[in-house]
Amino acid sequence: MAQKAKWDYSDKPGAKMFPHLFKPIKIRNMTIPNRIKYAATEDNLNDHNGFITPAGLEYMRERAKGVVGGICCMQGVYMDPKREGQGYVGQAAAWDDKYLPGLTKMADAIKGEGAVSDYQLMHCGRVGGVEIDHCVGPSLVPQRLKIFRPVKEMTKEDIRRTIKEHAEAAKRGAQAGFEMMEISGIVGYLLSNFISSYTNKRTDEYGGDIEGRCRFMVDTIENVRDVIGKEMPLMVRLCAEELLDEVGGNTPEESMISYKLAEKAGIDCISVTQGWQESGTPVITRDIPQGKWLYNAKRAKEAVKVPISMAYRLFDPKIPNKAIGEGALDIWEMCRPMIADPHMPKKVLEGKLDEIRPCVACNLCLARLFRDAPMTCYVNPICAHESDPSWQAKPAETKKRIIVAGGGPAGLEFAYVAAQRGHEVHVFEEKDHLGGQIWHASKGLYGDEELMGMITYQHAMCKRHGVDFHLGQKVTAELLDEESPDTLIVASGVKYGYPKVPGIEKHPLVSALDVVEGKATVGDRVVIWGGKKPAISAALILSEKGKKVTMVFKERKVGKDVNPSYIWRYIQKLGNKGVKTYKEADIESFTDDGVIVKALYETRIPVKCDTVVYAEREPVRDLEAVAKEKGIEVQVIGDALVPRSLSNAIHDGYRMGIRI
Amino acid sequence: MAENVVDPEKELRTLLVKFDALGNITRATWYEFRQAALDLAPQLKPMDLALHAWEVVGHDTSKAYVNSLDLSKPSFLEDIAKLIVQSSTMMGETARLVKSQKPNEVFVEWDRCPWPEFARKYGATMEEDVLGCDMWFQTVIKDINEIFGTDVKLETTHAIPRGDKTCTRRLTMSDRHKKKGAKGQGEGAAKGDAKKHGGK
Repeated sequence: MAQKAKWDYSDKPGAKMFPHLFKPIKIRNMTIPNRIKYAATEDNLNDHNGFITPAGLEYMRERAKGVVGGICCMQGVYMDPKREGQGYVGQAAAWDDKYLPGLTKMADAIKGEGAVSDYQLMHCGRVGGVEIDHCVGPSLVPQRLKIFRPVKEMTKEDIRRTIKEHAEAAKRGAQAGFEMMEISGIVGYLLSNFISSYTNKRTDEYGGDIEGRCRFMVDTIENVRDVIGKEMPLMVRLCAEELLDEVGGNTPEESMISYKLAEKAGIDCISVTQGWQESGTPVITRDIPQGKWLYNAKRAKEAVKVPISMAYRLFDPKIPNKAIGEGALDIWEMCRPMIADPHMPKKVLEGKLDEIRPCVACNLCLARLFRDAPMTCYVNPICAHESDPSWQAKPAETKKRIIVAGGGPAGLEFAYVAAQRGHEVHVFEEKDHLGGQIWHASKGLYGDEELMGMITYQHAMCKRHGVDFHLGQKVTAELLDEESPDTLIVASGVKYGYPKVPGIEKHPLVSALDVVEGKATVGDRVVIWGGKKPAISAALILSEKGKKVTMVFKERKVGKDVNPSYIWRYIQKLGNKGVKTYKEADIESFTDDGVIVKALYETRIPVKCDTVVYAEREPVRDLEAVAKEKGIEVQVIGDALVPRSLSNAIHDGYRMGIRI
Repeated sequence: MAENVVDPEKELRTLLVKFDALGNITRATWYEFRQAALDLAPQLKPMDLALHAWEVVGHDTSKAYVNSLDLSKPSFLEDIAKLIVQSSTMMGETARLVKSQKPNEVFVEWDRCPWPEFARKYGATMEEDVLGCDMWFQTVIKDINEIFGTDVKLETTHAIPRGDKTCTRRLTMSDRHKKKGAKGQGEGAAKGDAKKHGGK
């Protein structure tokens, strides 16, 4: 196989800052110019029959640009016409030659950007069968998660057919022109189902001890190798630590045996993963410190000789650069950071670190996939709209002088997008710092400081596009008279408020903002009035300090504004800290020693407390009427429109920015 | 002694949690039983099964209602609505009576109902949920009309499972029954008829 054209990074600032990321590596006979890989990521952008769409192609083309000569892997394909292996409604298929034209376009799109085109075979096993009434696995072990289909145990004939299907799909990948291939064995997909003692209870040659349980993998690798030839690099993604102790999963030592057997079977590079979808141990949420799992890469490096690749909370390039330098890792793999910013590694190479749109590890992307919806990103409004011209920022037809009232995420996102299009943009922020609600939110616990990275990014982009900042200045009617803008963008965010209920004067009330900033004096028994993200942050901070915390909120569930793939982390933490919650409830009145909570079923419950923290937000949009009165064009975005999440603020700002 | 101090919040909260759990178990059991019936009798249409089951429930509910109703009272119609509110609240829903400007009209409005969520979870259609609920109430009203000789009508105007913000049911009856409701006569008739239907 031809080697990739040489990429010269020597004059790039990032190559000096992160020398280990931008040095070549050899996998089998192929030399890759850097240590960067975009990991296969389902995006649900293909049609529901497995054909690749323009949206899917453009999504991948942008990521291929981003890896600056590195490896770019398309999403895993399912390989059986019965669709037992299909885990996502928009998953690409490769079980017939009819898929070849689309796969060829995909390989060409990736190679066209100078990246190494990688193709993944992914039978989703007990996570599969998304379009049918069952999925398959080595044994009939019932599902722990309700969203997955009932498992049907595979017969030996099923196993032989599945291995053959892997080989046939691999052949199509090679025919399509992909230069590298990999087999997915992560998070509970078929390969891992066979390897794990949790899901493989077979007593035949495909079960038993770890060697028996690895036989399906070994046979698959050998059959795939037979059809792709001796030259093409073949990778496998394998679990180094299942984190399934509670249900009798593999030990980390058994996992390393699977690595050795994969290497022996002819694998050229192993991508290290940890955790299963069915594991209760989180691996990729924001509360997991970056670099936490590198010890598994190190273990893998000690166990096998082939190169080791890894993703999983390696967002900051300093971390993989150091790990590669120390010999604990060979390839920096990522998907979510490049969902958030497809050009992330390119910006690293160019030394533009503050222009990287940071992933905040919220997992909205995953939440969407599990709900059969196309990919979207919490912080990247263009994600999955790469092929749609109406989503791109184009030069403005009429240049305007625009005032943005508010330097939070909505205002800043709008500001740089509008400035990029040629408008003259002035951001006025009442406070002496930028960030709006995020400035406060980033003072929350468990990794929330990473949220402020979004403001750093937006600020850098604003500077790059010439946005003027006026900190410590409030937009008033007089200011509008003086400045006479063409347009006013009201991005003034929220204020915290509470309704007047009987006896409210009996207790000191403090706001959630004061709690997160550590300004509030609170007693030992606290009632938090609200159930959304600010309330959760306040509850966690106070409970961490040993306060007895009760949350009272109107919604059916805590954290209505937190996405479903992240809220479980908060619920777990609130539970661990002993925080009590009253859902679908409200404070009816204040008493001498607490409050009366009107809970479900009209039940009135006396709750003792010495402090009430109010955590509900109300929009601040007074300027809208002022501007209208003066005949100034006005638009309201972000929390000023409706208090919501960081994501809504960013998406509001972006959409207004491309339209104004 | 400190260990004998009763914490009212804890006591109420415990009861509330148990009540909430029991409600959920009841709903889950309903749908699990439905599934078992469908498994054993695959020729059954889920809708037919659901409607029949709710009809059975409706007859049982009406037995409980008739003892609390008195046709001689001008609030007869409103009292039916109150009983519906009460039953619904006991089943974990949030319902309230809404008075009308018209004398012989009253509404029951639900703004929270956990049943559709369970229907979805167990693969039943939303329409099965709406029509099942309707069957329950229509059966209750039919029995009441038989017992009291009234012409109460119940109409579903909004339904949460159909995407409306509330479930709303309108109850009406004509004037003529009020005149008929002389004290004693209605009561006796009601109690006598209730016995036929198995009431106490």
